Amino acid sequence: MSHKRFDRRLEDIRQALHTMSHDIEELLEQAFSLVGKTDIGAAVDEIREADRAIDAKEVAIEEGAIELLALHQPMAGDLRVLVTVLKINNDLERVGDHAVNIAKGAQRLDDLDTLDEHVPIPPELAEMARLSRQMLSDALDAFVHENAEEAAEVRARDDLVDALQDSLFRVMLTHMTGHNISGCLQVILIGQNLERVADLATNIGEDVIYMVQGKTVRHQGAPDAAEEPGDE
Amino acid sequence: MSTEIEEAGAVRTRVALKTRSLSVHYGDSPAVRDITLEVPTNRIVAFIGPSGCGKSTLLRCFNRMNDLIPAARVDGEVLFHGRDLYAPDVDPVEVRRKVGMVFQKPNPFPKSIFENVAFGLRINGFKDDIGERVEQSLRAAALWEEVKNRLDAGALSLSGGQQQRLCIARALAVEPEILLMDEPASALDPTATSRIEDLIRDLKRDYTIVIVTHNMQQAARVSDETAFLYLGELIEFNETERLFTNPDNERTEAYITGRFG
Repeated sequence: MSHKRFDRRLEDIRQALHTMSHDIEELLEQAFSLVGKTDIGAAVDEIREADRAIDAKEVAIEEGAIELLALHQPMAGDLRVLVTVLKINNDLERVGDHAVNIAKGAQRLDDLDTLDEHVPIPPELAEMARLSRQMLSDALDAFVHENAEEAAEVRARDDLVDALQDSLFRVMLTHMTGHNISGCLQVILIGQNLERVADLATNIGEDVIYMVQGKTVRHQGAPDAAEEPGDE
Repeated sequence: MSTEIEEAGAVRTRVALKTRSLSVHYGDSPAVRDITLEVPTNRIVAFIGPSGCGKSTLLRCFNRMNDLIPAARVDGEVLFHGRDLYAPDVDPVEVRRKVGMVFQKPNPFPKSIFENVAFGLRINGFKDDIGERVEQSLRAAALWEEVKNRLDAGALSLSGGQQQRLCIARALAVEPEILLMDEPASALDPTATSRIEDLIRDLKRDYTIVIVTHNMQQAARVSDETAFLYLGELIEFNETERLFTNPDNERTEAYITGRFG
């Protein structure tokens, strides 16, 4: 039966996405670990190289999913899984781009003349990195577990990261002087990249809710994690 | 005119035809079991399900085509304008004039294109301008431009897709309210199928259409509501978009994802 072949191919694609998601989580962690460090040129190059490998995986997953759509014309749950795979695939590739941006920001900070420019790195930034990585990890777990409750819970955390981003912006403005504007802007930009990662994790969570429940929850304001998933 | 029913809130849906506890037996074998559903006016309703699920039998109840099968027994009601089509005083010929049917294989008569469309008008005693009605019907069936210069040619000289559109024109000529289609494109190539599907969507403006199809993509493409039948039972009747993306019933999900049936 062709659906057995379909199931096998779909499982292959899910596995590939799962592997790619591990790569991305690692990449994000490595990129942020470079912030505030010195002599990081080689490490930044490694991150760029790893991102190119992720781009190739993204293309391969997309091609596999499109092939399944074209050959099997899936419906209902199968269709929702494939559409979700395509969207998560795209979101993960963008997380990879943000990881590269963070590494580049770390490089620019490293390039500053620290005798002239003191650039504070407030604790908000590390907290944003921790939260956004955790959100991403949890959203991907929700996808693997096909668990809408977990996905809704990820969505609910996005506001925390947004609040930290606002706080980071205010702190950096306070510390800006005529000498360290460039460095402070780099910190803000790193924060913006982390905030986008949290947004993408939220998107993934919303896509998982669609996959599991067939409900579109995007653009509907703050979620109520307690009610949403069980509400059939 | 169709029956009007009040739905939840202020939305009004007109119902072209409804069944109440409809069952059909062929001898002792049940083919359709206790089906209650409403076909909304000017909508396209698709019946899907595996072979032998009762979808064609159900369709044939809507214009009493099952009367032609001696062993068939129909219980329950098929209500059209509030009257049961199976009431003793209802004339099945009149029913079939109001509820037309198009079959799986195009079945034009071995006559001219014109006569194929005019035939139903003549036997119904149509007295007005037959030529004008034939043209209207051929236009409505999206065939006029292809045949207007050869109306006297034999219908069997047309391609399969054109023959099927001719059969649709023939059905439309007697001005039915409902058009039943039993696998209308299954014998046609993809291009002809696409034209029939476009035509079905166009006809929705003026007619209520019920279509039986094995092709789930076709049901998804053309219909507004879809009914999934299995072993003679109505398992799910839902908006087509919902049924094919997020069905309410697990058996529907299993069938449309190819996991049973």
